[in-house]
Amino acid sequence: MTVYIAHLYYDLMNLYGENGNIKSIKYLLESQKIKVIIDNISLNDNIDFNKYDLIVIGCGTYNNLKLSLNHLKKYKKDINEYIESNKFILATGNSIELFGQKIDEIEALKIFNYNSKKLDKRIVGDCITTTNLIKTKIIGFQNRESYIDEITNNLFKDKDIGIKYKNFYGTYLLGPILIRNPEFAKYFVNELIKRKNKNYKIKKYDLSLEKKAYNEYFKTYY
Amino acid sequence: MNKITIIICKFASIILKLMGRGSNFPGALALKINKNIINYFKMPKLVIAVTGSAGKGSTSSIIANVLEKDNKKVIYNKYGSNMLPGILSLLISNCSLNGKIKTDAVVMEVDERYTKVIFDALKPKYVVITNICRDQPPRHGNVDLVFEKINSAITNDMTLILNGDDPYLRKFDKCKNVIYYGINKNKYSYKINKFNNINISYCPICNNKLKYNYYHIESLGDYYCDKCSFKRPKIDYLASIINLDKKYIIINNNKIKISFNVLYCAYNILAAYSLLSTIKIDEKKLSNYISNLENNNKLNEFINYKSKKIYVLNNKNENSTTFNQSVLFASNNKEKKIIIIGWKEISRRYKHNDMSWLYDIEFELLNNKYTEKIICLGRDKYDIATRMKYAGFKKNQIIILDSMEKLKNILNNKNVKNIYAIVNFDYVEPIKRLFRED
Repeated sequence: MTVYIAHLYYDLMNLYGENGNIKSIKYLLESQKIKVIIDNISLNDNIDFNKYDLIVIGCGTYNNLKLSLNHLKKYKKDINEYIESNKFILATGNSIELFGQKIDEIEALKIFNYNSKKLDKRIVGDCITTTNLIKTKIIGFQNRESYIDEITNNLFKDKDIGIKYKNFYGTYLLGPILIRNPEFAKYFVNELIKRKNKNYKIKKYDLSLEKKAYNEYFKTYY
Repeated sequence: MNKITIIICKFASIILKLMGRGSNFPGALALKINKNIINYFKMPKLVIAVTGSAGKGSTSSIIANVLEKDNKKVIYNKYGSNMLPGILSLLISNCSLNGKIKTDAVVMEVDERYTKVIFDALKPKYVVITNICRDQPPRHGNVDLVFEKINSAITNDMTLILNGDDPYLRKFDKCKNVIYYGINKNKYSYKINKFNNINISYCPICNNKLKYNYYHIESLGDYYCDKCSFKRPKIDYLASIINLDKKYIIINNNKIKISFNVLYCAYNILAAYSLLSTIKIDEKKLSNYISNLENNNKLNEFINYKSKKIYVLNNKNENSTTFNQSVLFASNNKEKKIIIIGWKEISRRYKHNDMSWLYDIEFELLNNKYTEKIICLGRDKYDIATRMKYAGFKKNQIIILDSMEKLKNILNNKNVKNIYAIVNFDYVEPIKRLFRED
């Protein structure tokens, strides 16, 4: 099996260590003897959505968010089809705003119903939440200057910080969330494998270090 | 009223000095009494401000020390109180009752976020902006926000001193008078980008991807856009031969000793040199002054201990650029080594536990045949160890330690020859101490 990943705007939407999620997915898939091909894609490239099983996109400055949107707009139809056909997107930080109706007054991709607006004060800090998808808590971090008015399909128990629609996973939680949350990473990658091959025999992952870091976080800080 | 404020705060400052206490209080008190007190001061002709994400402390210290050696009366905020209260304290302690500053020059290290209020009132003629890099994201948000803050404080009559190797700083385009410094191609320059998470990859004028003849680090180097005319500017002060191994740099034929062979030492000196030469200090004299400064970089240390070589490299947590410089330095030294990564706490300022910046650091560069082991230390040692796993280190190369005692035992092994400690400043002293005790 080969999994094709597009790292969208790797050189623009890369504010907070987002490539950690790519490292996590690559490691987990390869540990299952699955081949991984990652294409770094940005403003100068054409995107062939048919090719990919997973699209990953991270946070950016407001300027870079607008530049990315400008480039991505022409693929509106392709992205819609991509999502509707149950393919995967992992969008972290303010990149989720791209998929709403509007970013401030700028028209966005209009895949989902929400609008995002700039805030006067930044939202910064740790965010411990839960999701129906796994039993363990999620460790997250936020650092943003905008908000989304209302999300209908919430990914997390805390509202309006995450969206899950089919296999679109989007969240304001930034950075390497898959590395910090080994159970969530496992869940996510298992789903990704299952979509490619329902019967694929998934072996046990070695996430012992990640789990120690996860447990230590709760011991030290909570 | 202003006079009374000054008297009260001068008095407070004297008392505090006797008690050996803080440099912020008199300024904070003055602000309480009169929030516009900053407009009261009559500044000397020569007002120099140094701001930026990193290096502003070292750079302003070099500038102030050289001016003093050149027999000028100078004040500067040497203890790093670089926000509004700290700057006010400095001025209060050194002004007459009518607010006149009685020195030849004022040198101020200014926190990025306070540039607007401080520049508006004190009107520095010269502004050095060392860099804008990823630094304490919970506090600063991101680089563009820092840029906007500083840019709003800049007026077109100022003379800017900027690192011409950094395309990001070209966004400061208001001023006619800009002095650029830079480093020429040298044996550490490289052709293909080594860092994934950099702040600028596209031309700030036409958004075309920037190209490079060579890089020094991250987005710094000899850049150009092949769609428009944007390119690295003409460099006024170019370090033309840079010999980091022998610890000197050459600027305009003047050899200057540097105390530690990492890139940012050279950049800090270049920034100071450019400013000082711009204000007409003779370059020969200036080079001597800088070379003879006792410690033109006190941050890093090289220790020779029982036939071991130990580099203690000082970094700032949540500032991936400082770590990237250390990582690049360690990876350029092609010798078998043990690396230590760690910190006591992420930040003294706040309780956030963000780990994302660890993934902005290119630890992958250390994963080569020269690195034998990576030792992970401190409260977040498992997060560090996890990062090392994703940098490609094998399980048996990653050592997780919970005490300095155990670290000492490992390092004392006679087979350990070269040690590179890439640590936050809160571990610099504890590590140095390991090699002092007996």
